[in-house]
Amino acid sequence: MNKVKKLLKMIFLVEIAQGLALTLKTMLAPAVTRQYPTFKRKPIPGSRGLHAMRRDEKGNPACIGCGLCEAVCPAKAITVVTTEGPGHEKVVNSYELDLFRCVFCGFCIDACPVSAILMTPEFELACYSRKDAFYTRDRLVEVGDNYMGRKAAKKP
Amino acid sequence: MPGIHQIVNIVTSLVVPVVLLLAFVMLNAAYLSYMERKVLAHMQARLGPMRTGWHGLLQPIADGIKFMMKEDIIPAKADKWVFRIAPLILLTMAFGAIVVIPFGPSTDLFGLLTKKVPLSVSNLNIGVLYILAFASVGTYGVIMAGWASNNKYSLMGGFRSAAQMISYEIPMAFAIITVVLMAGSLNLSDIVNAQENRWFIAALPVGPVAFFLYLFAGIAETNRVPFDLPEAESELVAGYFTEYSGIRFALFFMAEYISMMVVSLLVSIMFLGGWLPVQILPQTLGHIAPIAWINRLLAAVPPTMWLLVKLYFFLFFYMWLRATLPRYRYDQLMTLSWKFLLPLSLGTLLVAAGMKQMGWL
Repeated sequence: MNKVKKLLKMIFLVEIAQGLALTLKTMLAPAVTRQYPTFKRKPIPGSRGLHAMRRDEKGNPACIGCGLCEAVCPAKAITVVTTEGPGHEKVVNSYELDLFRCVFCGFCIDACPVSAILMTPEFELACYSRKDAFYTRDRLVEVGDNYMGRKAAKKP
Repeated sequence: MPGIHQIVNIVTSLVVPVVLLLAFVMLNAAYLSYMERKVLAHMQARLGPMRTGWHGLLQPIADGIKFMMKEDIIPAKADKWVFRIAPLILLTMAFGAIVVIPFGPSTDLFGLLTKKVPLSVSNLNIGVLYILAFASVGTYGVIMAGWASNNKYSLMGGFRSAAQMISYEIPMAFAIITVVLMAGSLNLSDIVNAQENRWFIAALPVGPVAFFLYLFAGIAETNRVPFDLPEAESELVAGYFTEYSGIRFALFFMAEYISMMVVSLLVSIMFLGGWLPVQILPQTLGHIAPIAWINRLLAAVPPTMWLLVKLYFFLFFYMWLRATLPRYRYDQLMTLSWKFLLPLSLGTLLVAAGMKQMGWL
């Protein structure tokens, strides 16, 4: 009986018909593709994108130059140069982030003791010049200002 | 010195139909690529071309421009003239086959012409044989392309194509002969007219069998999924047109789409009544008012439209199969043809001949 059933299935192409029905059903269902540049998905909260630097209460860049992010970075994307200031305090001479090296792991954010460096969900990082992919401290602060400003403007 | 009447006659009876057919076929070949991409995309839950024009409608034109602008590359060790001629042979044979296809009943174009003319470029009395012959000659184009490229993948593709076309031509021919037996004519217009009362697909028991035989063999003949062994991407790069690029590559594509159209048109003409209208319900129930109305409404559609509807259904079916089925293995392909389709087609032919003899068909 089972053999006859199998033979009939083969002769009348039952399984092919089932397959055809499935593809037809898929065709009539809406496609899952998003038309990217015209339709952008909202970033998922907590997604790791472009870095930003926070300001402290006085409005200066919050980085204290401890170098922990530089130490923890697995891709060696961060370079911090510090010197001693006139009052024996630590001065951050330069803070550079190389996006060509960055793997967006987020370890620098975890390592920062004062939460100076952050990540925004910004992911469209294409640029026309190689220089544009090197983020200095000032540019990181600017990104942070823009991002925070946008967020603050949205909140109320 | 031909008179003005002769010139007018030649223009109206030859040039105008040929130009119209050429325009129709070329436009179709271009937009079939668009249709194929769209249908495949949607069956895979994608969108397909969306950027060039509204929903990518200008994509075939963009593709055409790109193909023509591409560098014309001929491999250094290729057999240059054979390499150049191969796509032309394939395209010419595909075009040649479509010449005898009638796109509608004989018409006088709403009284514009003095006598009725058939809606085909050439109303050959041996139309079916002519198409079979052209389909066979097309194989030479494939083999030549495979041979001239001087590339092992192309050669394998060409050989596969030759073996496949020879194998599938036999059941295909037998299926066609079954139809010719039923219609009693080799003329395609006569075959359609013979289906006035009943389409050949409904001619039990041989009709449906011959229909499926021809459909399978036709798909195999045009090297389409699931019988696309000659151009199996995963094994042979692109088969016989691996080395082709630019406009020559486009010619192969056009030839493929045109032969798809020929097969689809032949299926519609031989089994689905060509330009005869679809009748949802049999005429015997015609005395019930709503059924008669529906049938009258369907009969009011122009005959050529019916043929086009059937043509596009089968073209869609081609793409539908492509989105659904995987490829046959080579030995399975041969087994299917020689051990299954060939005996079946012979049996069908015998039964049809016997029934014809007894007057049952």
